[in-house]
Amino acid sequence: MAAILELKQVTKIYRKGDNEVRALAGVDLAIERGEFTAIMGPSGSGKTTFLNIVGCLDSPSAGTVSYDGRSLGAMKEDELSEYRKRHISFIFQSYNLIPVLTVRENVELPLVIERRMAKDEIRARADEVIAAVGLKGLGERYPRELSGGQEQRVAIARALVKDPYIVLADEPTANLDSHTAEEIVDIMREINRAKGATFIFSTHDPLVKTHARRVVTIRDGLVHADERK
Amino acid sequence: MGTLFKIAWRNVWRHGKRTALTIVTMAFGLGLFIGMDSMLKGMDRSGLDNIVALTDSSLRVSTAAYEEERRSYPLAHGLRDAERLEAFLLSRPRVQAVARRTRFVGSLSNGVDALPVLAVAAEPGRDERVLSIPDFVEGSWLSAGGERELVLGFRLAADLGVGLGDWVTLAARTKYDAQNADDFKVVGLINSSEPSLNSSGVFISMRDADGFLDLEGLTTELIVAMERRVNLKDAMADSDALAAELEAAFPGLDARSFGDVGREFLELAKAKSKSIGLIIGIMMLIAGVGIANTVLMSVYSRIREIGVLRAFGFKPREISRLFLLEGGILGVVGSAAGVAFGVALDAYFIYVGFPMESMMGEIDMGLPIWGNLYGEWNPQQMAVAAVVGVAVALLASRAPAKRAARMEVTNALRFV
Repeated sequence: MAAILELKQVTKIYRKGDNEVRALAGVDLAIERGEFTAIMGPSGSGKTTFLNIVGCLDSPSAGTVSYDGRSLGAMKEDELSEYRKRHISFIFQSYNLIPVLTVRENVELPLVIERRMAKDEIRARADEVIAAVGLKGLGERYPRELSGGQEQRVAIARALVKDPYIVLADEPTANLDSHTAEEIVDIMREINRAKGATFIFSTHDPLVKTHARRVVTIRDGLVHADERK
Repeated sequence: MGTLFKIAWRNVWRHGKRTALTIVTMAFGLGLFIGMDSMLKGMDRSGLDNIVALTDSSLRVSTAAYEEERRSYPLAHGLRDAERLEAFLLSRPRVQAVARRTRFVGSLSNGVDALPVLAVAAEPGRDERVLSIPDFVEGSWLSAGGERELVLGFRLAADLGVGLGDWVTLAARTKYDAQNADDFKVVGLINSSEPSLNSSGVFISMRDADGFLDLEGLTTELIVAMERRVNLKDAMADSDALAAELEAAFPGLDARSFGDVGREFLELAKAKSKSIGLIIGIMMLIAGVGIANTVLMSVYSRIREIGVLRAFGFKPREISRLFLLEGGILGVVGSAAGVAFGVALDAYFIYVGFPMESMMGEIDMGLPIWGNLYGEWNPQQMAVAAVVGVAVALLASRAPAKRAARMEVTNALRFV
């Protein structure tokens, strides 16, 4: 199967005063459409930097990142925003829902930003994904009225609503109890299976690891292991 | 735009107290601006109305020689051909009434004490058609056929210990500079909104004055009432035109138009409005700093939210627009509250008025304003205030909005 995402010799160096921190030291990796990939590694290994670069939130110091064969290296800030808007979605460890928007409005947000669908279509699509993550009937609630697990489900719905190329999740279960974490991983896995959505998520959680079909371990900024199940 | 507005609107009200404080500051500044403007306009109008109604009339005619020495009230430089002048004036369009007046200084005695007075010889029956008769504490105005009647200010009467029906002695120099004195009966005690009239004003009839001051038919000035025009400029232009026409037809006369007096007055008023403008400017600056602070606090409390919006594809300029919108909402709501407060202040000033006498006592403010001061509506200035309010809010939000737009997405997402 063709790679949807390809990283070649990706390096990221941060400078703090006179010190240089090499967060990624030449990563080579290809992710295929529909993969359910866990990125593992100890703290400071470069997982978050990897996700930031793959998510077009940060640019590599060297090397290339390409989606569907198209390199993102030459893109300017606005073009990267546009690319993220169309093709990439995020799930955060702290959910990061917009507190002044209801569940439905939070889920609708990526489509509203995209400005490609009519209002009615946006609403129907949002209701569909809200139901898919098991929150039917909670669309009018505000994030403060939800549990942590429910908030993360909303975050998943928000990430999936626009059918992105790729969903990036940074430690999506880190703030949840083990039961809720399992539910969340089940939902992600189910959507991955049913819709073919590509997931890449960083995690420390062994439970999440067991559900992943591919586990990439990063250590000292390099791909240390790449295991497919 | 809808969602952007929704986010901005709800965020504005998310921190209710902070927002309320900003809006109150802004509303107070703008409301005060509107109220003060109303009072200034009212002050101009009231001052000019008082000039016309109580002291100067629409046009005051005297000889040039009299005008030169006006402070000493030189009776010898009176108008010689008053009838012809009156006929000329009454034939002009917009002239409604003409009356003769002679001013002189003298002293008034109760038989024991004497006080200096500023006396006016007026024509009962004609004078009140040109100038307003003041209110009476007791008694009434000079009667048309009455003899040796005298009206005086109620404070002067109190100082002399005289009342209605008492006889007083008026002493003054005649046209020939001879000292003369005569007894007059007090028929009225006036309470004018012009404080000086109450403490030193005396009125007798022109007929009595003629013999008392040896005037031999002379009068020192003619006062003219002209049709009241709604537009101040028109009223001044009418008066100016009549003054010019009169001076051309009667060389040696000095016609002091309401326009001359009004312009001097408006010059004073202009200086006053400049200083009030400065105060308002400072108030708006304070409101601007308040808004900048509110928006900046909003930026700092929502750094992660900014990161999320950027991650989902918001461009930096859209983030900037979001915070500008929040500032704009504060501006619009603050301006609306300010205009509402201003309208309430205006309504109070217009319908209830500002009691100059009880607030200021008899302090001379150097402006011809007495009695109750009323405001005036000025919708144009309200619109200006609202536009300025929104502009200040947008301007104040620019820097915080730019700061939000410049944030690195990765840093914003990491922020706790």
